[in-house]
Amino acid sequence: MRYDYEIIRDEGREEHKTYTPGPIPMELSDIVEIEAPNSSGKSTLLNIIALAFYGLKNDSIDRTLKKEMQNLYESSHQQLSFNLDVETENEHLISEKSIDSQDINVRDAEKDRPLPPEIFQEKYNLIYDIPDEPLNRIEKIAENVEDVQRDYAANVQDLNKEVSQLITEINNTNNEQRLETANSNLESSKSDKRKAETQLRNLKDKKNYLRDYTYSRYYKKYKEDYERKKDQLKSLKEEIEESEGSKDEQRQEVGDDKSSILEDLHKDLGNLRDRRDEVVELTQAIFSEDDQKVKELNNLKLDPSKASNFRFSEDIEVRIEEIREKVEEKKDSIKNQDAYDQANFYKKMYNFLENFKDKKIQLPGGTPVSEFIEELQDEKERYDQLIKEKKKCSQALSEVNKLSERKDEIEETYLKDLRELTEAGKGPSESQSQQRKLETTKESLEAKKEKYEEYKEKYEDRNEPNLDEVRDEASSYVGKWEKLTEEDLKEKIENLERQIDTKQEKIDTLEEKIERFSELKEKLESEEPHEYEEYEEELNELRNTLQDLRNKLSNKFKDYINDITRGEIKGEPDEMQAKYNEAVFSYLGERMGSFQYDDREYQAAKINLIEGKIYAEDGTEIQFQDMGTGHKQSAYLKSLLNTDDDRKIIALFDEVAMMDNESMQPIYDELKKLKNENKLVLAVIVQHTDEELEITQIS
Amino acid sequence: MPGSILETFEEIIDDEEELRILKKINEGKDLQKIIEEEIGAEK
Repeated sequence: MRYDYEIIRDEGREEHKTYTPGPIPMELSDIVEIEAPNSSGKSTLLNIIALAFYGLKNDSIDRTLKKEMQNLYESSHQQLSFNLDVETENEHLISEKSIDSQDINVRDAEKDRPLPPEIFQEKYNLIYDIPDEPLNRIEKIAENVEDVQRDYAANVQDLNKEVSQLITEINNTNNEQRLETANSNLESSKSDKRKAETQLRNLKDKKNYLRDYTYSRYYKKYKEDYERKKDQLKSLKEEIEESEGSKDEQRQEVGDDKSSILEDLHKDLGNLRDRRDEVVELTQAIFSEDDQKVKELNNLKLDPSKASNFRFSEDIEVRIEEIREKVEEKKDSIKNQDAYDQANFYKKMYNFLENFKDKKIQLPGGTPVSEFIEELQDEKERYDQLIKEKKKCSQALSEVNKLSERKDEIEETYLKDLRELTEAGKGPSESQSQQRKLETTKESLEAKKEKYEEYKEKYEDRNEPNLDEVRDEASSYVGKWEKLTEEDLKEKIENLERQIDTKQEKIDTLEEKIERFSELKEKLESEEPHEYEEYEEELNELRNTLQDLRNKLSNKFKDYINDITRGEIKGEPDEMQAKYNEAVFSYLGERMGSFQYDDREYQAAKINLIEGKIYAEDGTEIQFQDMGTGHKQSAYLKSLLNTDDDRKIIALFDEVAMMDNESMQPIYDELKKLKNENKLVLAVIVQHTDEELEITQIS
Repeated sequence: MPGSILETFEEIIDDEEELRILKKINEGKDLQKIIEEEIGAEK
């Protein structure tokens, strides 16, 4: 090797000093050891050789050494030029840098062609190291395994992306299955739409009948109520105006009014009893026929017309409240059971998944969705009983509310009037009392008028339907409606409106689907099949394999190598980790090869970084801490030289002073062996001495 | 990539298909070519 360099350094006060090679000869053999005192330029020489062979772009060189190279190459206070010529029997490399350029030009002088960094690194392996803390450095070799794993994982991921892309392309182009699916989806969407349209028509018809029925029924009712109130008001006014009148005559009139109201009241009391019976039936189903509270409710007398004051017995309100509390308590107790939450969860899950039961979907873990639905159904049935019980409670509560509302309605519609008429029947003894009645009747009239006008508008909007005709035309519905209260009917109309909106939304969605499937069908029919269509199954299998492989490399193996470089495994390693560790420890042993310990040479079989032990092939086990520094350094340098690729080596080792002749000998032997195998271009080993400069050619 | 790390994987990965793919990647084979070989669609 021949070399020369020049460093021009700005040393302040506008002084520049030029450094050139010192006492170390400018021509050296290709395997050489330099022992030199401080400031002889030995480290500068190694830094320049490393720089000359793209050391700054080499990931395996330690950061401290790179910093030194950087300092030479890029410092603002100094400029560097060099010329390096390495010639062996088979290689001739020249690297140059001029003082005024940052370019480093490396050439293969034998073939007379440039060697840019990528090409150089493919052919040559620059090893530049200071073997301090050698065992930590062995861990770095283990880290190399991690780098390789990462590269493999990235390649597997790229391959997986390609495969996924092909599968997507196949799925997006024409194939028989897709066409069949598109056709079947199109037909089923059309059929669903037809069904939904029929249902929508029926719902609209039902809503129209219900509105006609409700508006005509209540228009008629409130019209009569209003008229009656008007007559009452008129009578009262006449009474007051006349002030005097025949009491008997007056009582007769009042008696007539009362009879008419009582007649209506009796009709509605039948409805109230039906409501009570409904509540009794539902609560008997929840509790039992012998339940005391239910019995009490069943035995209630519900006819206030028998009471002299036309008031419901206070017992009624008490019994209704008692039964309401009892049912609510039961409902809460069901809702608070864990089993209810579970039941509710299974039911919702079952209803959701049912939409997908005919699809070939697999759940994580490989269970087909259809099987899972069957399992869910078994579970669902187990808990259905609870859901039914809760539903019964809800129905019973709704019926209790209706019973209570109906009672209030009767109170409002009939009993108040009856009480007023009774008072009137006793005869107006004082004008003050008559005035009070007048005011009350006026208020009542206003309320009736408001109702009457509300229904009149609705009734007219529906073109004044005839109630009897509606009863005839919609007889199948009206039977049930006759028992319903005004509030029930209003609620029913709102419900129907919601159902109509939902149905219309469904039809809109189906129309969009039909359009989409038609377009897809047209597109598929006009497309050529994908060239890999018949390999879709194989591609899917390949994708699964690649995903498994990537998971191994990126997750499991990554964790394993991290444990090794950290020197600690949490818990007992499983079979795969144990296997992995053995393989990596053997790889590290292979990298180290032979090493010197206790006056003998051993062949490393394994380096166990967790135990801190080297296992030799002859069965000897050596703890790291039992090895001297020189031996450790020697073992480490051996592992660096024992590479596993075909690249030719340029080896630069600094600060090997801790190594005596005995521990250096395996390194010399390895270098010579590499040289003989034509795998070594250059090896320069330097160490400090307080004596004079000594250059040793190793041959 | 160093050959002996691949050999290390050979001792750990039991799945023949996975190992075969790793070897092909290691040889620097074109991804499209690997796919064709693996699914049996070689031209």
